[in-house]
Amino acid sequence: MSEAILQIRNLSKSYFHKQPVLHDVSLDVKPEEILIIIGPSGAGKSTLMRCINHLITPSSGHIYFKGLDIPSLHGNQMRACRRRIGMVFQEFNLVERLTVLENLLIGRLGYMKPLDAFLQRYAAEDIDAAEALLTRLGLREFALKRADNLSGGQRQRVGIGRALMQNPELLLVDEPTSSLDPKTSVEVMEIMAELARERHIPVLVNMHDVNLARRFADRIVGMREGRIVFDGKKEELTNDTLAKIYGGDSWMH
Amino acid sequence: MDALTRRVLKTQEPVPTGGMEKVRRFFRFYGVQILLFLFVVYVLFALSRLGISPKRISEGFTQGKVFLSRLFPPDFITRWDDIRHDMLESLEIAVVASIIGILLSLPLGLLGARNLMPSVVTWPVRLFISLARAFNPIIIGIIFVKAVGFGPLAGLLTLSVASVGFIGKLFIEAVEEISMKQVEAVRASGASFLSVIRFGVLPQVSARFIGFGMYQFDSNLRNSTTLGIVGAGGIGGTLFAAYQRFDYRIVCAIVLLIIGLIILDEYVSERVRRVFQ
Amino acid sequence: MSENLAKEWKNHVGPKRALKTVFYAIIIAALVVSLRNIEIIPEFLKDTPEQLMDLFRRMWPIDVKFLWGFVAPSILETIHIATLGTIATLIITFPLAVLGSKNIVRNEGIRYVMKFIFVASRSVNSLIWALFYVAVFGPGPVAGVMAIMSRSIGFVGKLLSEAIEESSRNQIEAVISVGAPPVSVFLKGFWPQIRPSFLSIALLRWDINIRETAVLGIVGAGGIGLLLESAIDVFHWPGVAAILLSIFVVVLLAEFLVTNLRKKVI
Repeated sequence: MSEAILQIRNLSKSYFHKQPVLHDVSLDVKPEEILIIIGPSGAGKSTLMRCINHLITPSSGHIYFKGLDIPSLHGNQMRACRRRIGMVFQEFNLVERLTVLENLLIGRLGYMKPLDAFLQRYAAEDIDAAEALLTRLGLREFALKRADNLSGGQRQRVGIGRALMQNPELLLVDEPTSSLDPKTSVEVMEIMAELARERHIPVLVNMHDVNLARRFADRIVGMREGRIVFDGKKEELTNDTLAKIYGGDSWMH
Repeated sequence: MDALTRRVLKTQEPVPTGGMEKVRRFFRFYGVQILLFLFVVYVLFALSRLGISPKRISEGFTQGKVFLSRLFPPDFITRWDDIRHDMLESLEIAVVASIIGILLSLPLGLLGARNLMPSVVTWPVRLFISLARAFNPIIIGIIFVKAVGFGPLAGLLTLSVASVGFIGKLFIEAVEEISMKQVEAVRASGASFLSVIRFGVLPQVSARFIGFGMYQFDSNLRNSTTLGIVGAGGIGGTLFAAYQRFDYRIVCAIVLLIIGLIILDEYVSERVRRVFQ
Repeated sequence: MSENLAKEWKNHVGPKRALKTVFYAIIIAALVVSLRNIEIIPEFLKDTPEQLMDLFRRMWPIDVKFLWGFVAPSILETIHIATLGTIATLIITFPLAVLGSKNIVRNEGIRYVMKFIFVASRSVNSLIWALFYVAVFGPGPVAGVMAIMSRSIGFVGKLLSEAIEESSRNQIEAVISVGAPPVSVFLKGFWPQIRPSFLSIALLRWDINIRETAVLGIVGAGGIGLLLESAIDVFHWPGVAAILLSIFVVVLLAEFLVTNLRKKVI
């Protein structure tokens, strides 16, 4: 078995005393795998994602990313680590008033000198890379349009492009399809899986949609009330385990 | 049976028995009337306190005719050099104070926003801004005149402070309304703090900031024409001097020029706003 | 699209950047020209923080006796002036605003006259209005009330006619259609639509007027400004502090009151 890219050990997070959102979570992400976390709303999936990127500081536990313990990082070290991890958001989180190109280039901010960034002096290689990505994403013609002109599916593809511009060693994808219709959801997942595999980037996704998860996952993890209740190949995901994850089974029929 | 009970009966509801209930019903029916009555009483009281009476007003109007006749025709010529110099000074004070005010408001606005900064930072910033806003520029002007002496410097400092009070507050509000999702995405890319502000925050507020600046310039121009009354530079000084010498025709000329300047400014700023939208 | 994106991007930001540079250049030029003419004496500017600190030090401790004996009555007078001025404004401005509204008065001439009155009123600062009225009525609160009124007509008139122009014809027609007399048409079809904005504008202006009245005394038009000026003239700094503090408190209270009342009105 190959060495894990990301090792989460005994991670807990609580905002209020004795009401943990994450409860002693341990999880490994292996190279080049697409790992999808499923579970009902409020299971702690998003919190887990944000802890990995240190947008939230966990209450206890460790997250080892290629030897770095993320929760212990600060300042420049933390930012240097963040730029190695790309993130895709549920509601896209594009900077609406900037162009599509600039939104992609935000992925390079972690690499740029502050003054260059401030004056919008982007490197020509970065723009070329963005152009190549936009072409792959089918958004080349929108490059200089403002992000708020795009449809949901297009926006999410910009979100994926932005994350990939970071040249990430890990991709975190938070509910990528919750704001999209079923057809667009599949398209977005397809292009993301394709680009990630090409670049050999492991992907950690969380979503509600069990069918979509079955279709794209190499491995599935089920979470409920801040704990991991299932971890296995997608073939092992039976109706019984689903009932255990989501509670009850009336929703399946 | 009293009128109130009759009206209550008409509503088909049980007649109140408890004392409190009676009082509540009384207010429900007569609340507006009571308020109006109290209001009229207050107005009469205030009028008598201030010694305002119809006689006083009518006397004033006779006096007013005399005054008006002494205002016209306006005299632009006698003090033209002073007037021109001081009008320009007012304009210049407004320009510089607006620029300084805007430059200071930018960092203060970011520091005062509760969604970006911890309360240790926002609290003093917000206190300063509300202090700067609470006082009429004339009052701030009096204090600065005492501190730095008569002249345009006092006016400049005054309007800079007033601008910070106004734009600072609006800017804080604008920053507090932004979508934090966009900020989170920029943070997640590993961007530095400056870049987060530049790409996550500023694009969301910059369009409004220009409007605030324009508005503040209008306001500063108006105020810079009166600050001279307390000795803080600009046309107000010449105006007040002429007034105290009873040179009402010069006063009239100056006021007409001020009105002209402000109408011109409103026209220009309307145009500029349209360009930026 | 044969051009590459880097070039397109340059063409995209180039003109914007040029425009911005011109804009900043104009501002810097205006700044330089202005600063040259204003003749700031560097020693004075350098001295400012120290002078200010010195002033504030002399203000402490504030004069409590003065606060209750002189400041409180004077503050009350200020509030009276602001309130009466606002009421007078509302009474006078309501008909003017109706006459200035597009949907009620078709005659453009009348509307232009109204617009002119509003603009003239707003263009003259309340302190200058006060100078005029002090010349007419003599020093005292009467001049203050008149000044506040003259200054507020433009603000209230402009906002109120905008509100009237937004009122819907349908609701008025509904009341007319049941055969109601004109007074009822006004009270039931028109007024309910205007009331929230009317009250809200009145409250806003009252808040502004409280601040403005605080300085009218400087030219003799009543209120706390007169006391402030005399306290400063005799260098009674603890008294000045008492006045400033009371103005601050009144302004904050007025703002608090207005914000909460407006929420109820709307």
